[in-house]
Amino acid sequence: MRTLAGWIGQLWLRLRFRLRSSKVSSIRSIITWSFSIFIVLVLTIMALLLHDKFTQAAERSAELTTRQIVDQVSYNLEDYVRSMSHLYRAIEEHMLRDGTWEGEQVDKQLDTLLSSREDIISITLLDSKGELLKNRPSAELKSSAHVTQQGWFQSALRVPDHLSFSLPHIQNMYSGPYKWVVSMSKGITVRQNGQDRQVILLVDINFKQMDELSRRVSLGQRGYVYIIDESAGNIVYHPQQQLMYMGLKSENIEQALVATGSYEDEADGQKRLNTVKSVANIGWKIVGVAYLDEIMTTRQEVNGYLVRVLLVVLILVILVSMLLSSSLTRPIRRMERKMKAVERGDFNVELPVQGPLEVERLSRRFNLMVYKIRTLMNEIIHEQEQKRRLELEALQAQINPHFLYNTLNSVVRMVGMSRNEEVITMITSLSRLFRISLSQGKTIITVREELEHAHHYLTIQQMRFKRKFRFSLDADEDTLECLTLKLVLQPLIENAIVHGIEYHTDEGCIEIRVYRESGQLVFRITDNGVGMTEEQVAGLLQGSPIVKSGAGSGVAVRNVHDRIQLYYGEGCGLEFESELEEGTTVWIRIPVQCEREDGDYYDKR
Amino acid sequence: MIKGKEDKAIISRIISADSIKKFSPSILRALRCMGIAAAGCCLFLSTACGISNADSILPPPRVALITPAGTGELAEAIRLGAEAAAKEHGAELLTVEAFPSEAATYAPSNPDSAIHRVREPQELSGQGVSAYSQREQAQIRAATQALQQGASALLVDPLSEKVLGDIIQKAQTMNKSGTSIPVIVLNDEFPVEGITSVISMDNVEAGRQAGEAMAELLGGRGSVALLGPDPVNPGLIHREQGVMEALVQYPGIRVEPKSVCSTREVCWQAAKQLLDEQQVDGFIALQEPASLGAADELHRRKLEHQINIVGFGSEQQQLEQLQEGVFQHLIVQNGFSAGYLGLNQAVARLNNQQVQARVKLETKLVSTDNMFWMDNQKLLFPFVQ
Repeated sequence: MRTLAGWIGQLWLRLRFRLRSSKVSSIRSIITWSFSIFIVLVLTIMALLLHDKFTQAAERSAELTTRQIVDQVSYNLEDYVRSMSHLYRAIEEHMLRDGTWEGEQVDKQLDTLLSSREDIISITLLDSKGELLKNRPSAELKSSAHVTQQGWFQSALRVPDHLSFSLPHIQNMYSGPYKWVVSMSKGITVRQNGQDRQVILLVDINFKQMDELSRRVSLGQRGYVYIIDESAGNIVYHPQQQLMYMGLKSENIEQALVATGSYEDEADGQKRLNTVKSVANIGWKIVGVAYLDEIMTTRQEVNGYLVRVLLVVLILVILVSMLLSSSLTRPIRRMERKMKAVERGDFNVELPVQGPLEVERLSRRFNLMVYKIRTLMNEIIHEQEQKRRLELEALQAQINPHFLYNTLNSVVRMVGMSRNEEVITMITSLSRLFRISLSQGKTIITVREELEHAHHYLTIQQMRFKRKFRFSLDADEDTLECLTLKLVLQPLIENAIVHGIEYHTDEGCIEIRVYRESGQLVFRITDNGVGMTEEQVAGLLQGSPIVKSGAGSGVAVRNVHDRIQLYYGEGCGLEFESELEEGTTVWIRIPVQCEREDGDYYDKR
Repeated sequence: MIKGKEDKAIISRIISADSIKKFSPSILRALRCMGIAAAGCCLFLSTACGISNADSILPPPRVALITPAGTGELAEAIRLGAEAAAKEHGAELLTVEAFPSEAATYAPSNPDSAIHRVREPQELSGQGVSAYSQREQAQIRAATQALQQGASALLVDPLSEKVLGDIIQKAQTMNKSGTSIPVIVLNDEFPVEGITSVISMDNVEAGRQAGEAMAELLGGRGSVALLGPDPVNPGLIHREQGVMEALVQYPGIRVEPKSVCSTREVCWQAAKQLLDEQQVDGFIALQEPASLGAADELHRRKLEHQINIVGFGSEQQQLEQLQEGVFQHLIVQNGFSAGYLGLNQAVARLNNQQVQARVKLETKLVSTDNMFWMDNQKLLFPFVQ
């Protein structure tokens, strides 16, 4: 038991693994197959039950029908026989009332009776030796008929005063067409002239009526009715009597003789349902024969019909479940696609809110989730930007105290030497410088302003270093109105002076040039100072202060570079080229912006 | 079938329209799957319907019975037998009466018959029209009519070889479906090609029975005269052959040369001539008119009980003569079983089962004494009047 359970469990696991690993485990196929299997199972069970019920009912009704038909035939036959017996009695009474059969009166009465019933063929009165006493319609008795040897004559003699019915036979006593008749005969003792005399009264009735009664019966397509004589088992009527005489057909008469009700038998390999019923008074037995395979035909038809219905339903079920499952899985697959998009970083997706309730809810939740993520992302971006601006502002702020300190040092020195004119120039330049520096808190200024700023700065420095260097500012006309981040030149000029020229023995020269080059605005600052080693150049932008010479923190150049990169992004910034004892050239490259953009980010905030 | 394909086409068109709009491959796939399923469903349903229709409208086989008009009780017995078999097999029996058109000489009131007469020469092209008697023409017409009514097999009791040949030719050509219709011949053994099956009595055996019966009646000695028509019919030739075979074994019996006569009147004359010329102890009448003619002559000479007659047939008048003892024996053929077996063969052929090319019917010797025995009654008097 345990091993069996284990085995089944293992099988189930394996099956599940198989299912998982294939397409079979998709919701669609699960729904389709489970639906189909379930419905087909239910239908099959229903069909089996129905089929059973149906066939039973069909067989019962077939049996009942056969029974009823046979009963009906029997009633009709009995009725006919009874009426014929009445007729016989009437004829007997009319004919033999006074012990005599002579006279016109009798003739007339018999003729009336004859004409009233067309199925009476003849009325014959014979004596016990077979001599004709009287007949109606009167005709000559054929000598070749051998009346005394006929069955009806003998049975009338054998049992006197009992009306006997013969088997149907050919009447051959009179000339004319041979007819099938049933003879009613009775031996009657008549008192005539005080003497008892035995006569035989024979009434022949046409067999046609009984024949038709039996012939018209149909039991199914091939079923029929036959009649046998209960006493001897002779066939009274059979639709294929000739075939039986020829041996082409046989009927199991022995069984029919002893049977009552219904029984089944087999003939020529076909099963038949026989129903037996006796006919009172005449001693006959009616046997109804119905072929069972005709009933089976109904069963086969029902079978075929059920199979067809099953197939159609199966197809419909598969179709419907496919539609159903695809309507379920479609939104799921849509969701999957959208999720993939989100995975790739596209947060601007939105699922259409439609479909079944659950899917609708799921879509709504998904949309909410994506919205939430989007908001969070935006918040993060906003925070990052905020941080960057603050950083920028801090960097800009670093310049001013540094420079102010140096300049004020020079001014103090000049005042000490009473060089008033120079002090005035210096202070004027300084004020101009600061005005531009502040420039209403803007971070972006025109190149013109930037150059003016540089000019003032250089003027101040020139004075500070006692005209130790020359300088030139030169800008292309079309660059003057372009925009630039403010105060990018000043730290570099400062650098050139402090590191390049201050310790140089010759007269220094600083040249600043602004021009456009391949879509970029370029500021070039050239000095002829001491220059730098390659390590120094490389170290400049790394942010680590290399030269700790004189005043200054040594971070100014790095500041400029960072600011430019922060503002304009990668690809912009500073570029150095330097050679010891030859000088240094710095390029500042920024994108050309000639109009103040409305969407300027930093200024708006 | 065609409908299913159309559906599929329409569905694929819808799919293509959809795909342009949505451009979504998975939806496209799902739709195509459904489309194929729907198309398959339609296809299946239509075929299922087709099968069920084919099942339900299988018509019962129609078999036509064509007997010569006015051949009396034998034909009627054949019909009864065929009817019994038809009922047993669930077949439909068409009985086409073939009456000769008596209106041949005067203006026809019925337009149909006029058409028939105009058409007949073409129908019988290649063969002398004048060679056909009116009865033969009527039989051919009946066969044509049966074929027009859609008979799928013919049971024919032919009047002559020519007629049978014609009927077979028609059966092989007139069918709508192109296959030839089986023709089953009853009671005759004409050597015509194309016959599916022949159902008739064994004429040699029947003749032998007649000869034996006659020899017994005569006690092995005497002279026997044969009466019968010109032997154009192979059945009759065989019958005569059988009679001769039987009588040859009795050295005491002398067989007179056969007198040829085909009607009752002529046979009466022939019998008269024979009796005038010589002593005859027994007549073997090969056909019904011959036996009646011989009986007429015996009746006239009041020699009914001295001279024996053995005949063939079971017509009303013959039976009366038999009861009276004018005929001593009749060789009786069972018409009922001919019809029954004939229809059986036809149905077997239509169901592609084995068919016997020749079915021999038993004949029965009926005498005055046993003619009213129970089994003989049904044989001699097949129907209830």
